[in-house]
Amino acid sequence: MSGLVLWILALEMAAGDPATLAGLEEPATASPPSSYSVGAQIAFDSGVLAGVSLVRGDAGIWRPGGQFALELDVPLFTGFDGARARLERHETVARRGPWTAQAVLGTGATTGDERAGQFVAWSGLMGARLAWQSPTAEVGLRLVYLLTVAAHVWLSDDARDHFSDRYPDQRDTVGPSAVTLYASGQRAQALLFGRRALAARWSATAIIGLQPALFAGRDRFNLEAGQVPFLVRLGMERSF
Amino acid sequence: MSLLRDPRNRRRKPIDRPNPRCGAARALFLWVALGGAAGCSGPTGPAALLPLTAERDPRLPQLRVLVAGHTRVLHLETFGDSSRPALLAFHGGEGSDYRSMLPLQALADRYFVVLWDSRGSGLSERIGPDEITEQAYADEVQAVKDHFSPDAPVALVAYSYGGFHAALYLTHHAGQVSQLVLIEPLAPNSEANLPDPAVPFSAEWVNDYLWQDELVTPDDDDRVDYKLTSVAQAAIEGFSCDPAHPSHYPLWRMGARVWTRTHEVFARYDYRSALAALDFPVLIVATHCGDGNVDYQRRYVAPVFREARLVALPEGVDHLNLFQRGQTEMLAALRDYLAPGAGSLP
Repeated sequence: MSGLVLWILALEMAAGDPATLAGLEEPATASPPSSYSVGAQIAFDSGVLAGVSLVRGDAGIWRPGGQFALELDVPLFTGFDGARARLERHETVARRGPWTAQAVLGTGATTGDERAGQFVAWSGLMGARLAWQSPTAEVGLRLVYLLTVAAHVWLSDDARDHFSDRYPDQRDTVGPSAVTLYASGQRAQALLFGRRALAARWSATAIIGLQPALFAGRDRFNLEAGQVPFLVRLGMERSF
Repeated sequence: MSLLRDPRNRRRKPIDRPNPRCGAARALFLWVALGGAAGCSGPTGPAALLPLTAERDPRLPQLRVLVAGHTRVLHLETFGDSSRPALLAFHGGEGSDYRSMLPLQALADRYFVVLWDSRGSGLSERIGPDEITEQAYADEVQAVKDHFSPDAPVALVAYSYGGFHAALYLTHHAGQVSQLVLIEPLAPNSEANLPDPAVPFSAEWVNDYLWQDELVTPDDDDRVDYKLTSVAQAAIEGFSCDPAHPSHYPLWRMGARVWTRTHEVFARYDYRSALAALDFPVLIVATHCGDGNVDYQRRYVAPVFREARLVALPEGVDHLNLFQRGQTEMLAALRDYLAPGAGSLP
């Protein structure tokens, strides 16, 4: 797969197209044309993930330069029995020279299947991103609040067995078959992101930063508490 | 792809078949998330994911103790006639509970058997970091001892990490104990203990643990306990004799914050001098499997005492299933050791 990508990249570099980032060729344009980019990433974010992304640039609602971003991620080492889809809207609220400030609003869905059971979770996010752009590069800062709005857990027989044997007069009580959670997870993202045109319509992307549990106290950055309090996401994009 | 999977975890992952209503809710995800799921399941909130701790469940057998300036509720059960000599049992695995040790109730024909979850562990009330100290652990045991046997010394039975607790208690209250049974304990000095195994980052259970961050974050004890309890069985399966057929370890609930903090607070310790001063023989029970097996006990634990009897359980019994699969042999060894007149040095 990676060989195929490199082969295509080499072909397009040989074609000699200018190396620019989609949608950024004319940052001051009042109504930039719609643009698409498709990417593939490897990430460390709630585990080791493989992901694909689709970004659609548009004219924006208030100011030019809005985007819809769709990410699909799969955790690699959980037996491929989880998945996450996240849709974000980046709406430009201010633009001055190479600087762009955007509001970020998004939603997502996550599934998981583990020994304790299966779960589905619906999440929301809101925040802001500030980017510095040139025709060939983009760097910026993203600050986002992530909330697991609601989730449903179907507990496995193993998990239900934790409820057995407790009462001396009633040893065979088992736990519930399912539990619904509201606002069960709250995280913050403080991320640096960057994108650089490589050749033709290809660009490299990188995101790195912190993603702690906001209200976990001393466990905010504790990996032993079952979390990854940081995020690294590296990938390649091709614009259309 | 198969190389990335842990086949043991995969095979043992139980299939919990949701009812048709829940299946429909899964397909209509947004409907589920927006509250429709409440219609196909009763409980809500992270507290429903695990059994409640004793201070929130009055049906649980319990005892209130004052330790380190805090009144805490212990999940505690007694078996037998309270007029008999008291036998206190310490559970294993910091944060864990006494569920696996319930077969010890068979000793109630001769002893007043007391099993409890340490503060912050199992189904006992959770505690703050200021309550995880050596003095506090010694005071907790003394509070239980004073409640059930204020005047007479007691017999102690300690399993695995409970051996650490027993050594700690004896360092502070040596005269309170008349008999001591250690069941595959840690060595009483940290230097002799085996290093914690490296976390297998590609293991399925580790990644399931991290992926749970999408579901719950460790904001309170209910959430962080759920996360740890849900992977505890997979995490300790390496103690099994046969990795292809991992043993089951009965467990109610892990106290995650105690599990984390004790690693920090008790990184280094040495209780050998208190154990060497004991004026009665000690019984050590061990298996043939795992790192803490009978050879380890013979080399690092038994030499600490003036006299230690070492009993090996049959082949096939391991650290996780010894109270179940090795029950007959273990109880026989305990009865033999605890018999009147058997517990004194010549």
